[in-house]
Amino acid sequence: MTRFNPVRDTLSGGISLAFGLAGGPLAAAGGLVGAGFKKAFIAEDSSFAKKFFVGVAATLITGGFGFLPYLIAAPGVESKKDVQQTRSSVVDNRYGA
Amino acid sequence: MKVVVHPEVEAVVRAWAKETDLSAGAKVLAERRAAMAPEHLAELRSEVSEISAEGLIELLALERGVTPGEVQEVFGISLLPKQVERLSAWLLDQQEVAEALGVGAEAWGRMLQAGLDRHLVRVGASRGSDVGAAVLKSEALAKSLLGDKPEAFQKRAEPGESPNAGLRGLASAMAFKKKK
Repeated sequence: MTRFNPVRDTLSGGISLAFGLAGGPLAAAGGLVGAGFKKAFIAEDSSFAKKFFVGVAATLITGGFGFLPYLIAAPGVESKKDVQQTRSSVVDNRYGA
Repeated sequence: MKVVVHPEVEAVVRAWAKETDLSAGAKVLAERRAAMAPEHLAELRSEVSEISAEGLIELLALERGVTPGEVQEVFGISLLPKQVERLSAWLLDQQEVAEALGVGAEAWGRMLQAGLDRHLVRVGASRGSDVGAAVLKSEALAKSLLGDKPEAFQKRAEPGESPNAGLRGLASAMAFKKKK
């Protein structure tokens, strides 16, 4: 049986899909559905309301609700810059600057 | 200790990492991946997953801009607000990176986990005892986030122990029904 994995299941919840296709807080919350919950509760033809409420429930259960404010508002420019700079530094250390 | 990979893979990784905008980096990665020889794709994905996992450790250990404040529980681990914001930026970027590499999100999550394991083995073999406490702590956090971690979820789910127990019970019942 596949165990719960925070990052994997949040990624597979389709955060960017939610942002990209619908935008806004409801879509962001719906995008946090973990893979297991999606498989258990959501069929392709499920209504948006059902997807949204299952998304909120899954987010609360998996303890990822701390992300909601950041994902809804999108992380700040500074944090994105931090991600890029750490990556650049890791690559320089890895192969040589 | 420097890592040696195929020159084409290194060139793609460097081009991706040097982009100062994350989305532009993902775009470069997708374009270069599409143009590269298929036999090097596995090595490229392996490199990017390990670099991303190491990047997460560095990001969580980053002290700049982190001020003491109310700790937030995210997926069962305690983080300061700045760290949560950085983690969410990293997570959103990973979605784009996975798409750029032509990997599904769930598969990418597993690759990140494997990348973290490789990174820890590699640095564990070469580093001395002078490694900082912040790095060790962020390694443990990254393990919690990228590894299979049933504890927080199942703990919350035990009937009578969690306010979410009702939802967990519903989830179990519906998952069971679906299997039948």
